[in-house]
Amino acid sequence: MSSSERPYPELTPQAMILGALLGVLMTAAFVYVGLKLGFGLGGSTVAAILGFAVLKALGTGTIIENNVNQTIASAINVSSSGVVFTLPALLLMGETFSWGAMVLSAMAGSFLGVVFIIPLRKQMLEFDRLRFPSGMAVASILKSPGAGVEKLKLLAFGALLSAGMKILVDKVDAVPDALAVGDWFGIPAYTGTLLSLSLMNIGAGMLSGRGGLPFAFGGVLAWWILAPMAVSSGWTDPFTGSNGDEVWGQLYGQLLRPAGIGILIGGALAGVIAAFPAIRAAIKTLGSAAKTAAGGGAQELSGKALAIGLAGATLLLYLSSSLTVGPVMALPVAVVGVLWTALAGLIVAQATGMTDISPLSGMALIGVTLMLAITGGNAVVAVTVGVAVCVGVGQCADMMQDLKTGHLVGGIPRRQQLAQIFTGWIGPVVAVGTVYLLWTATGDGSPGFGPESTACLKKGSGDCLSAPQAGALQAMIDGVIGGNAPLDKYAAGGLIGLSLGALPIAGLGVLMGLAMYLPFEVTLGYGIGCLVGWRLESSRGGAFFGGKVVPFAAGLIVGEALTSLGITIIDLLGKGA
Amino acid sequence: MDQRARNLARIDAGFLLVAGVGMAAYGASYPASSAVIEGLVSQGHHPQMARLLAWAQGAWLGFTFGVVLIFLSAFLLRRFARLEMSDESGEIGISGLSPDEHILALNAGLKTIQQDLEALLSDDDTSDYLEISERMEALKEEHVGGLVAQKDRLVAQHGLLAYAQFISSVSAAERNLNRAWSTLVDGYPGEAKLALETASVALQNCELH
Repeated sequence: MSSSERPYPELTPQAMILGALLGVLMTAAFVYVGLKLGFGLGGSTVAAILGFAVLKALGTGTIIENNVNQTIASAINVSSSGVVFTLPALLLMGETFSWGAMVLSAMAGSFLGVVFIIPLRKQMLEFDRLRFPSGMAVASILKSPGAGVEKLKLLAFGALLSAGMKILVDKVDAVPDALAVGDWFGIPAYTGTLLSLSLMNIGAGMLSGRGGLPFAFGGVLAWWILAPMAVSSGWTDPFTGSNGDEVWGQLYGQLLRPAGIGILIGGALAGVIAAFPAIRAAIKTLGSAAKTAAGGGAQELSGKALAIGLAGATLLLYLSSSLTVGPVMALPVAVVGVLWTALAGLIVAQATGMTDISPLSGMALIGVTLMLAITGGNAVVAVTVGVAVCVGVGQCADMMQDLKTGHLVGGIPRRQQLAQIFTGWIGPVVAVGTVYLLWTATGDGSPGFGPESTACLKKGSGDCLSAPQAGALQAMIDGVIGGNAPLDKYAAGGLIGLSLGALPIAGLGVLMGLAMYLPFEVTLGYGIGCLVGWRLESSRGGAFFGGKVVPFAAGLIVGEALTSLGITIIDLLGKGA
Repeated sequence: MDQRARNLARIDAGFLLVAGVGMAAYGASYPASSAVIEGLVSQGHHPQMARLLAWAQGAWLGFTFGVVLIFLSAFLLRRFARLEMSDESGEIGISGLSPDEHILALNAGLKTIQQDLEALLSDDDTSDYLEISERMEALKEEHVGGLVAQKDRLVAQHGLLAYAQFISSVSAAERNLNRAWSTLVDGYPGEAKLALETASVALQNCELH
């Protein structure tokens, strides 16, 4: 067979098996990391780089085949954050629940996330042209073998620079993790005017360019205008008046963050309403108009297939809820859970597409609050559905990011969508299973993680898994049950977000809300990246941006992501974990 | 209204927007007094509803004024955007090409690449694949990028639905051009040829009326 007749390897068994193996390994490892350190890690870049080595050794390793590998690995791995941020809260609270229901709920969330977001592919990637910086970075890695020496050098330079900075900050402690730029200009400490030395953050801003500037503006508004006004109005506790960090904590936790969550939600709702004709057009074209004469079949999953998936996932969520609250109460719980997963998934996918930052924990918080309201404070069902929401929302962002990568390397969306649907469910099984094993690891009835675990009670124990995110959710549940949810901030923020939808600036509400939801040190570094990216694109043109800025900024993202993972592994091994 | 006056008016609208968002967000951040909340709870209100009512009592005026300013700025900015679109000469974008011209140029570029690829395939010479892949990137950058840059104007002139259908076909062609690039770099020129044909078919569906 001549070179022009060979079939092109794409959705191959080796890519699927490798993706699944990497996904399972990363899920188990990242659940452990999440319980220990309180943050999640992305697996796409790792899977893409390992994919080249392994698939080439197996005799294939094409760009699009490797894209399938990374799609599957991240589809499985994305559940680790969703599960570890939510489920352990019930264990810390000492609640009794069904582990089977938890697996079913997480699987339902996984399916829901994918089937909800697929119809929005055209809207987000083709009409709105959202950049998904990490998706662009993974595409740069995948395309690196054929992108030419100059692009490869820029990618490598960016990666080395970013990795070097990460090592200097985290391992050598030679530089602080953020520069106190506010102090240089006499800006009060409570504004949190710090410049994070995360080159990944700056790289994501560079890739977003002009589109990310409203995000930076939102940060300035929140921390340089609203925060001083709030303090001068006496809205913070006067007893903490002289301590900048405590005032910052009050401003962030009690005023700006909840209002930011509301603006995010209102802004996303307004965006859906404004873009409804385009979304309707996109859904109409699913499966039929996307068929091309020379393409050999449908490019997208059909609307019918997605409807069946949606019905199945809803049933699964209903079943898992009915195991906890009974068949009657499970109905509203499942319906609200499905609706919230759809809206929150849209919000997180949009935010990730515009800025590369995911407000996952904020959406889980609202989901759990909603469930507590419906069930009259039943924490078990609230967290059970919260697991589904968190996993589903993560799937939405991950699917869209993978589809962006796929668009840039020329993958067929349908194949990526099928790969995600058929393998995403593995993640919940592994993630919930890992939590179960770690919880029962001691074998003597004492908890294996959490502040009350034997390891954590022994101060300085390297085996201590403190489960910080679950602890935060537990505190939030206690607050909601006590009637202290900041409902006023959510509602007012929601109205602002909706009104921002009237402006002819797409995504403004989401960006403004996200800026208030995050500490200023993230927004500031990101904003500087946006300004640099915008300046270079407008002064040097699109070809320069694509040829020079994209590979360099992608390198900044990839370098820090890989180094973070490496440092985490070294630290855990060093502690004898 | 001339361009200078319009720019000044737009800056005014921008200030209105900033003032509106600031005022509304300041109102949203207002912490309800715990004494008022407790008073409302003692009157029989649910604690969460009491919190909402207490916030509204303290913040409604500034908050509402801020929201009104946001809507006013939205009205003005939309009006200026409409005026600008109607003033621009016909279908021509910044690049100097109309959407139809971009599509024609894309089609012509694709055809040339297909022919050159065909010639290379018949020679069984793979040395010039890099040059072809670079031309694909350049074609995409100039013409797909040129069309996307005209989005706001095209939406204003043809409506969101028509633009959505148009850009969907352009994006399908773009994705297949990307596929041709990847498959060519991977050493599968036959698959690249197929992807280029698919891109051409997608472009035939590009109509903006």
